[in-house]
Amino acid sequence: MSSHEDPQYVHPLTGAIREIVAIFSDMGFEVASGPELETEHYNFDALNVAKDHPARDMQDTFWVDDTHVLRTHDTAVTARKIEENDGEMRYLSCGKAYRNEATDMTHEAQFYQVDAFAIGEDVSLAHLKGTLETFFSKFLGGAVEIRFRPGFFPFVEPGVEVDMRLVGDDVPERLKGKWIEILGAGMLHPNVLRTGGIDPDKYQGWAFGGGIERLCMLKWGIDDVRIFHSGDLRFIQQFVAGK
Amino acid sequence: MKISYEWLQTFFPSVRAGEEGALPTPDELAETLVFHAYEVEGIEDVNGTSVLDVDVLPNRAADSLSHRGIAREASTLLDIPMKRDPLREDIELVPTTDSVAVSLDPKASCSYYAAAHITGVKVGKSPLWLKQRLEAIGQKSINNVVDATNYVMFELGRPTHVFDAQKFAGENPHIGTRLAKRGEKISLLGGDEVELSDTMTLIIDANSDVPIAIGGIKGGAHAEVDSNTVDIIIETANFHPKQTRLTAQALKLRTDASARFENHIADKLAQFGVVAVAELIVELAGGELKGYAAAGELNTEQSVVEVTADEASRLLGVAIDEATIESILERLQFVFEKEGGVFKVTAPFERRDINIRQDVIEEIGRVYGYNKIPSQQLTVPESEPKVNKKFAYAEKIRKTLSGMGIAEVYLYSLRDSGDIALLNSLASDKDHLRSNLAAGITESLDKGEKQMPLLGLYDAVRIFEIGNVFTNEGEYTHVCIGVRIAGTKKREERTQQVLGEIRNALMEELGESLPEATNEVLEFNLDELTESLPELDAYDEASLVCTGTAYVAASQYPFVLRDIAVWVPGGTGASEVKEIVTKHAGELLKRNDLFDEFGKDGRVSYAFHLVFQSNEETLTDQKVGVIMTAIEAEIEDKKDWEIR
Repeated sequence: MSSHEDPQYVHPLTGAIREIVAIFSDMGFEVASGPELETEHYNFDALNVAKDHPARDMQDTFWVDDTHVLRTHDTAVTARKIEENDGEMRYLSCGKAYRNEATDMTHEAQFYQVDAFAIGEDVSLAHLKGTLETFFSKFLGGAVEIRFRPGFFPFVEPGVEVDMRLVGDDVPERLKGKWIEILGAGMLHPNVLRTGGIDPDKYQGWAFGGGIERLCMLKWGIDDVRIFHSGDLRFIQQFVAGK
Repeated sequence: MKISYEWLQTFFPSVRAGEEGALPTPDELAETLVFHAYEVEGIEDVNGTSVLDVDVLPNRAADSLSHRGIAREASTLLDIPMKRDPLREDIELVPTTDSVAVSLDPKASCSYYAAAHITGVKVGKSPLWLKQRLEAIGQKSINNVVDATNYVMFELGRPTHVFDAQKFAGENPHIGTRLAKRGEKISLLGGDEVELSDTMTLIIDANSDVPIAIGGIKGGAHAEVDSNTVDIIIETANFHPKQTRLTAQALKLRTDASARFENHIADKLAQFGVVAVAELIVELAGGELKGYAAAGELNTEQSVVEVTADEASRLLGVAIDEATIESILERLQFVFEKEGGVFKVTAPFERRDINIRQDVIEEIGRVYGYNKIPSQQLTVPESEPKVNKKFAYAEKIRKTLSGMGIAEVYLYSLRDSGDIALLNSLASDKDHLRSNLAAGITESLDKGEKQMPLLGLYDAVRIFEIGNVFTNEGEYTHVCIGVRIAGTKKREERTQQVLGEIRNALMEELGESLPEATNEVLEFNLDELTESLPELDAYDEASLVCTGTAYVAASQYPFVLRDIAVWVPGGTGASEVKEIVTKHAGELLKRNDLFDEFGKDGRVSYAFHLVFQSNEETLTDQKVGVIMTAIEAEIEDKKDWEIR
């Protein structure tokens, strides 16, 4: 083929997922995955989104038939893993999710989501804060501050919105010192644990979820979410493998 | 929801920020709300008062979609008492009257209805203070009677409605409810006519069976209040949250009223609403309150929730003692008993979201402050987590292919054809789930081929995707590699050769046979392949990560390709030629690829592909021609240099 050695390209989504998996594996999280064409049960019911809950209106869903949807969040994997396992556990999943909404620079009908959760007898919001500090510090570089604001997601109680701020000398100028809204999180709702066969009086745990494209956009200064799925090689060629 | 700072201040003893008993400045108030309660999207100045745009979370919509609700929250969070709190007053619908009758059809979704009958009102303009308050939050003033109902909705979060009593049939007005008939029509306030279905609840004039409002959504034109109205009936009723939502959705009529019913505002709020509106109308428009008539039941049950300081501390991850919890519950106006360390907590009637232990802990946590939660690391696990076999092999495949310079793409799952169709789709070319990756890969090859010089590719475009496909048999993860060879010479043969090399490299890495390529693609099922491969006890080192260069958006304009070949004296480097090219082409030169080099008779020939592209415009041949002429002229000027 070419006379010179070919450069090795790494798509930003692949690069980000690879790093996320490495960081969370070190913290004892197992990689999980589930189907993108998901049952209504795992996407909604098992996550405490009741049939008549207004939260079902909050996300516009692609339906395939009366009981199957394109999963609206990777959190459906969380519901599956809680059902499969007992007691203490830590899982991470990075997968594709779908929303039936108009696309623009920050919205896509398909996107990748990272979801992680940890369950134990005393796993608390403080552990969520610590875990996220470690994650963002390794993923984006520099020292990280995390802050919580009240948030609402049916599958957690309490629910929080997570903001992050990078401080330190190595931080890119565009990110330095700015609070950035980055994830949704909280303590798994007892109904979610109970549906998955876990005793909520004995065990508790946190869960978070967020868009991987958004993490990539922050990390590499990308301004349009649609380019990730465009197959545009002018984009992909800008991301070359390195250590 | 728009919240007027000036209106909010009326609930507190002082209006001077900084003084005891006063709200802090709007900015400080917004910050407190953001970190302890709800989002504040912004603050704007409307005619001299600050208006906060508060985004109340769904679980707080029942109690917080009003000025009183936000005032109550501010009082809790800032620990300043309220000067007035209408919902803490005793309420009774007195006097009663039989000048109006109310009866409910149990099949309709209305569980309680109270009417107030006022005679002798004078419909007119609203006073300035009322107009200004409504206008500050984006509401138009209509007349004193209608404005009174709107005011109470934004003051207490309780929708009400007013009818002209003289537009009812019969001697005494009789209000009823029933389900609509399928296809029945009603003219609404504002003139629109809508067609109803048989699940929708109507308010009717029971003497004539004529519909006068769609329950929980909007009033009808039939008994509308106008400038001649003198006798009125004020409606306050409770509608089923889900039915209201479905009706509003079906009619595309989501109103301030329906939004509140959907969120299941407390039943008892109905009585506070009707009394507040009746009093305000008598104050603004005069008239005499004949009395109230009501039908149906109010559900006033409130959960008793048990929680201990230890449970709260364990969930939040910060030690919170009983004294602190007591003080927070008091600030929230939650009623509690303490028995042996167990708090038995009941929230005030308007709070519909306090039903389990975790709900109370959330209240404690957010009032206490999430900023006081320390960060703590999880214990280091004793063993490595189990390896996800499919992910591990997908990574091996990615690294093998990346190592050969093949670019990974991520493409769309929604396409114009496939085994499985969507019930609701964005567009007709995205109404199926893909049943293979090849179709998308082929499209990407087409796009890539058109851009080859711009990409520095002159032999072939080589890409791959790993993603899920959806077939009648099930959902599988596939791997698909695509190759497009440039030019037509021996195209098929070369394509098969390149795909064959890739297939061999993968088989060597995986130690397993793979299917043959067809045409331009090699696609296989990763789930099946993974089944046949051995378990792995560790992931490969995550060595291939992206390097951190900031991304530059690609130009949207077409590029122009020109080749140039130059004879130069032996010993002259290609970079010397490149320098001349760069000097004349400037920023328009996107690529400068040396593709041929050979020596003859003491001279060297260099040949380059030059790719020109502008970020601002479509480049003309003429413009590129000028640059090429300048490059060629300088080269020809040099001793022993020659354009080939």
